[in-house]
Amino acid sequence: MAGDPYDYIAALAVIGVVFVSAVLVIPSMNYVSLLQVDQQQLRNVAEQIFKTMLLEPGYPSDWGLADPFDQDSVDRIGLASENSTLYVLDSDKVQRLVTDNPIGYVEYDKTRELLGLEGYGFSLSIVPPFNATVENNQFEVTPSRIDLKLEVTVLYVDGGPVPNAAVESTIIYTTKKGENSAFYAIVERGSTDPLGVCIAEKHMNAPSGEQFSDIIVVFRVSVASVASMLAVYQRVPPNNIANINYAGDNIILTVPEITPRGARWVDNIIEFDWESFVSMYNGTRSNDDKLTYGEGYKVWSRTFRGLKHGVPSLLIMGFWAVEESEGRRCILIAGPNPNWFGSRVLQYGDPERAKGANCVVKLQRNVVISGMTYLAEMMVWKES
Amino acid sequence: MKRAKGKGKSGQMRIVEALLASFLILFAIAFVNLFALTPTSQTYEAGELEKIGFNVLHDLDEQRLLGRYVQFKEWANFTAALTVSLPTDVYFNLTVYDSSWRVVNTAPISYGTAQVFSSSFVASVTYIVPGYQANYSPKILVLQLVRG
Repeated sequence: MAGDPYDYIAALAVIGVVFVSAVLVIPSMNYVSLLQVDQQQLRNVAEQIFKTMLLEPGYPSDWGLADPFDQDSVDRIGLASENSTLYVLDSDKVQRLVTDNPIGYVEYDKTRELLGLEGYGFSLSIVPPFNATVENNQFEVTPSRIDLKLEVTVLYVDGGPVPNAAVESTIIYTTKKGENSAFYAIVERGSTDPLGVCIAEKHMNAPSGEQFSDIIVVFRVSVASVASMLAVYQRVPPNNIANINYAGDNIILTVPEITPRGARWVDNIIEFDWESFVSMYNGTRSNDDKLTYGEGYKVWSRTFRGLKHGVPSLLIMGFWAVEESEGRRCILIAGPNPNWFGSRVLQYGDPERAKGANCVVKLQRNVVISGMTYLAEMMVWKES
Repeated sequence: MKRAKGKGKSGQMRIVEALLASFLILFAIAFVNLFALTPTSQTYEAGELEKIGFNVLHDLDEQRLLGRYVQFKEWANFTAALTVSLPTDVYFNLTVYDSSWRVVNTAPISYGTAQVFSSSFVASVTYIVPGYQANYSPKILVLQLVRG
């Protein structure tokens, strides 16, 4: 009889130990499972968002075309082209994800709201599947002579060189004869060596009676005919002269907040797509082609029938403008931003915010925009 | 006294039973966890690789390159195009078959050693190329993918 209470106490102690260890062990086992379930859920969410963004056109189906653009007019977001096959994106819609686009863009929080992503964060980038960098070995432009030697290096995303990549350099230059300017283009072709390097070299004298004014070089780089990269080497940062954009059939130029604030005139516009380039406009240097800070001249807009159908990748524009420390001359710039250095969306959403998250899902797909291949990469995380 | 002793023993047995039952439950939970299909598991990864593989072949087809590579036997170009299009940590091995399942590609279209593809979790995508331009000459592409 005397042993009974001790038996009960011992039994109680053993049950207590079992209970406490179960309380400690089971949740920790479940925590791992829950974390994995959480990851799985996050992956499903990421796949769903990616599917919505890349395979659906959104509503209205031409929401990227609106001018002026109001993000509240977008009911459903999706970047796919209407009536196209899988993973072909509409460049007008993609442009609306370029933050600080002067003709309007969809803010990150609005996109999150449209995608129903409360509690989740995401970032999206649409970049070329390989990197091409242009290094200036020699780029001398005087009124009488041009000497240029540019080194194009083509690398895989992991940094390995891409040998045998086809590099087509289109050298566009303008000359001045009195107040008139003329436009010339030369196309040269080469390919990268085993180190992924291709050199574009050109030396020339100005045509008789003319003076060189400006030069711009557009590189088209393709690997095994996969059309994938456009890179531009230009002397003047494009945003010093004008912000170039297009929506549908309209080309829209706006004046950047930068000095000197002198008036500038649109001289020429050249449309670049993957296969060709076409001169599409010659300015008159009248008030119709003037762009300045004065009221009525802050925005220049023209409709070019069929521009949307042609889906240009790039626009090269000649301006009669003043650059700091130089007089008025014809200046060539490329746009829109960031197309001129090969990307479509550098970063939409802040990936830094993913650093505090328990788990992050990263997905990538190849997409086609204006006939060129890009890599769409998305990161999704759960916000705490 | 005898009854009391008998009661004590049966109480101890109950505790032993309870202990065994708890261990059984714990083992069951641990055992079930082994079979959980998590995002990091190979099966799930294979599903994602299949999507990537289909996406890349579709993209090349969209640019009318698949038919050209196969028709003109541009195996080196095909390898370069897949290398540039697939993520850098993905190994691939592509085989081109004709409609009678005879291998057509005379050179390997692959990235990664054969050992990599002996793993049991290889994603596989089958894609049919009807021909090149007006030439009807169907070929079956089988793309195997493994994440490195």
